[in-house]
Amino acid sequence: MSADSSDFFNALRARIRGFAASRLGAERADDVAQETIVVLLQKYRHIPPGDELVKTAFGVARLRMLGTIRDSARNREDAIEEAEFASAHPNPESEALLRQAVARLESVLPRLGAKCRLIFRMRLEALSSREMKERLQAKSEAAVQLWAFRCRKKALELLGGDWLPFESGGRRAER
Amino acid sequence: MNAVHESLLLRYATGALSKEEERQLFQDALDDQNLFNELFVEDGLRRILDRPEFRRRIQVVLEREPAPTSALWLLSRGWFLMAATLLLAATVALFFVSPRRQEETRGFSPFLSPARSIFSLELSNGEMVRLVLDRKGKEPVYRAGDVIRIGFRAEFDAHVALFEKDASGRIRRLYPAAADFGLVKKDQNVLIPPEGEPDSTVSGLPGPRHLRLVAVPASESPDLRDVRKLALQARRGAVGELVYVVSAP
Repeated sequence: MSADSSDFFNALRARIRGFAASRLGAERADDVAQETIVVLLQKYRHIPPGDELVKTAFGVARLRMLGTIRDSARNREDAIEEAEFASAHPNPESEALLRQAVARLESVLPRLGAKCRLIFRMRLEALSSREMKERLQAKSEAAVQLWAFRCRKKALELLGGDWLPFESGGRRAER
Repeated sequence: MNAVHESLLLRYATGALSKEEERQLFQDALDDQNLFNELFVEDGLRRILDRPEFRRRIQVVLEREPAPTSALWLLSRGWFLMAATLLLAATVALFFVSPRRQEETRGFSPFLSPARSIFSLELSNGEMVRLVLDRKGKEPVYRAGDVIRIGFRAEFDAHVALFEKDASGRIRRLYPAAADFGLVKKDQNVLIPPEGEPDSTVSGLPGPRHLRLVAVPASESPDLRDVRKLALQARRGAVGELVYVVSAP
């Protein structure tokens, strides 16, 4: 591994650990970060360090986080195998996760204000900031962006913090 | 995070970035934990929107005017289409009317104090059920791991069941613990968990949670064979519902 490549993986490991720690706590975040890097090095060596590999890491890490939450006692090698498979092939679990996320989003979007829904629509239509400014009759493109970011934040609050669901904290339903 | 990164993030989710912009965003994210976290989250939306059928579904929802009230919205969701007896009134305003507030909170303190939301669910027979949460807000927000306390009181003798539907659509019964319905006397305060028992904590998927209360007058016989069906369709009795939100820890 070259020095550049080593720097890339070290930085990526640290960032994944940081994100996972914000959802799972530090102890399990270390495992998620390490296992994600192992999968990348073993199965995705054909992808050079860069944005495509980070995107792949997102997918692997997300499934590792879900797996870690679901069954922290699972054998680590089994878990890595699962992450490898899940990241390479659409599987029922990934599909169910996506469908669940879409259903959550459909339930939340009507609860946003009219302006936020319009902004979201315009984003999906890939309108430029200028076009959005005109349609919203906003004072500036900066104001449009501010609104768009606030709307994103509001939607994420209603969704519990993520577009794709994560189970939280490993606590099982007590009620 | 600066304005440039905010703009790039928003456009990344919808697939509107150029290759060069995307490369720059990911490179910057490796040096900035906050940006990386936001990008990780936004990648979730990207995965949804990259699927044309899901993107179309989201567009359809956005193009549709939402129902003007929460009750109509629930109707549009099909939850109560079979309900001949539904009436939902979440009259949070009552909380601020002092004489009534005193009456409504009677018996719930100190279990549900200091902060609480009181929802008055008006049922088909004109009677009311007070459903109380230990957190303020029209849609109270709990974080995973938070203690949650729930209380209710019917103004009539009733068979009562309380269900919770989470963000994945899973429904579970919160009350009673070991039967289809619990027989509740008029003005009896029911606490979940019962006073003196260990606290319940919020767990499971973040997102909206729907608490659905089914009450059948004690003089009638509830359909014990399929209580969940009753909760979903409200063919008999009366149903009221409120929403609270679970946020990530």
